Amino acid sequence: MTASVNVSQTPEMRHVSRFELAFNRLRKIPSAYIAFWVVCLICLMAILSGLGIPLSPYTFDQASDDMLVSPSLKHLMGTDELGRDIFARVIYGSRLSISIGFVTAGVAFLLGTTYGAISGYCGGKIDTLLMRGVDIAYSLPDLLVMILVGVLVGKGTFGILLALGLVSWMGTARLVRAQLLQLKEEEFIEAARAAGQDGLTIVLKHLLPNAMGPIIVALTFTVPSAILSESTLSFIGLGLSAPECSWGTLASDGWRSLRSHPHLLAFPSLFIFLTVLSFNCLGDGLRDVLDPRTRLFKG
Amino acid sequence: MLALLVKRLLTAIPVLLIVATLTFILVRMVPGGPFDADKHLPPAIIANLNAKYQLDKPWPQQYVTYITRLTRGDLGVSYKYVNRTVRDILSEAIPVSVQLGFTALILAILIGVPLGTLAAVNRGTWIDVTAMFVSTAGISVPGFVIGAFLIFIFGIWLKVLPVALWESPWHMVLPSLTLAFSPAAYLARLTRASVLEVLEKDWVRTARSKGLSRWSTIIKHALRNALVPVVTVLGPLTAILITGSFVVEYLYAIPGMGRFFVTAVTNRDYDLIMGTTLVFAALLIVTNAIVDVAYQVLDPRMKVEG
Repeated sequence: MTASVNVSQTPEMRHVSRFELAFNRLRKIPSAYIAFWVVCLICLMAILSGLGIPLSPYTFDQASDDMLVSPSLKHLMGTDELGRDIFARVIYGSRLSISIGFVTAGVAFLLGTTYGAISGYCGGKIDTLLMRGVDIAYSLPDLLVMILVGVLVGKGTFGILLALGLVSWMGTARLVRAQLLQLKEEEFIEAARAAGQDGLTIVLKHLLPNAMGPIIVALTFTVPSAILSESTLSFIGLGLSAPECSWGTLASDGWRSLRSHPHLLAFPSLFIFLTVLSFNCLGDGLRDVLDPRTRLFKG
Repeated sequence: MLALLVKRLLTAIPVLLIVATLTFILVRMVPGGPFDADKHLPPAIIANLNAKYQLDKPWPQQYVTYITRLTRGDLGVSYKYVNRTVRDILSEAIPVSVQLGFTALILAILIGVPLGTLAAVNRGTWIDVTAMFVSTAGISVPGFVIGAFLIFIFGIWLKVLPVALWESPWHMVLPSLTLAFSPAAYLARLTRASVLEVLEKDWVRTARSKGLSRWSTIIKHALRNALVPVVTVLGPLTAILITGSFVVEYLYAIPGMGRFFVTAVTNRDYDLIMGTTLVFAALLIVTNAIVDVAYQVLDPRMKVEG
């Protein structure tokens, strides 16, 4: 995703070759390469979970009394108080958690980069005005925005997606702006301007590609942090709630019985941790590979 | 520098006014009023209550009343905590949240920045790998999991630290650690990336070739420049730590602003929502102003106009 965005301004041939080049380099970083496949696996799991899996997240075995059992061969991660299989529910929960992460990152990237680039490049009064805008957007507590969006759009998946998107673009905007403020004082920008290039070209061809490293690092944080935000919101009872099933709602159910049945909290938490960790490792690798300045690999 | 700070703080007034206006509109757009939850109340009493708090007046009139009172420093009263003004409630809750937030921020900086610098300087060695694994794992754990884990180990299993309320310094240990954990990891990663970038610059090589020792170069030259991106995130981070401690306040039953804000939203306690939001906003503006000034001290090339 980051690769295609990075080079979207370059011709098609270069686009393909640069992506392949990046991937080949990524293979040389073990942690990032493993993380790449773990991310693929988790995404696949999320996609397949909607199509029907052997274990249903909603059915429970009425014949036996398998309620609140600890992990065993029959129920790999145990069961909840209704006798529903936690393993099935965790797999099913991935669908919501993963899509929330991706959509939020997409929104944050598009909104944040555009906004930050305009602010940083134009500078002066426009910059002041736009940054006060970010201040105001920041000043509204996320919680209030989320509750309001939830009420206006309807509480549920779409509501929380919109809410997370709306509250997560400001960080990227600030970062892009700070990068551009610093970069535009560099000599090569002066050279580009002297060569007669217009503002849009300078921003898209010179400033943004050079700021891409930090932007990728920021996006690296956005997918997993959206997953974390959703789970945290649901955990404290302000995000999704039953019958919606995400890792956050599962963890929230588990918190209530931390003392007696820690497995209810442990397994959803473990999946959140693994997914977020993989995304973070992958992002680290992508940064080393795609950022022209880190020169980890020469040639 | 001082002029810039004053200028930034003066622009805070219109920003606060916009925040007040937006919040005013937003909270009234959310369906339900402050007294709807009390289903057993007869309509006549609800009407009387609304009249007492002037909620039966049209919005524009309520707005003018509110802003007029606000200019006199009157934040209004709570509809739910009977006989308590918003100022009362906030003056108890703010110190708790600020104390918790700053302790966590300082912990996070003290752990994060040295860890990141150490990793960058020893790039590729086991120190780097270990530091980065720990910090990557650190940003990957949700706060509630760390909280639950710490409560389980120190509260339930070892029984050495209190796991709830806010009374003695011992009560601060687990909440501050929980809150500082992921910011520390985040700062470590950011510092490492930033220091690595700076270490490749020509002037770092020049400083070294002029005979400056390795650590002297790092501390006097590299770190000063590398900290610019770190300072960028400190503004939002401070605000997040002070205002966003809601999960921690929830886990450890701490009477801070986060808790009052959420109860206020659920109760549609309009004045309390407004008061909390304005305090959040003011804190944020002040931290951001300080950050912008800090920018210029660190990198005078940047022309921040305010």
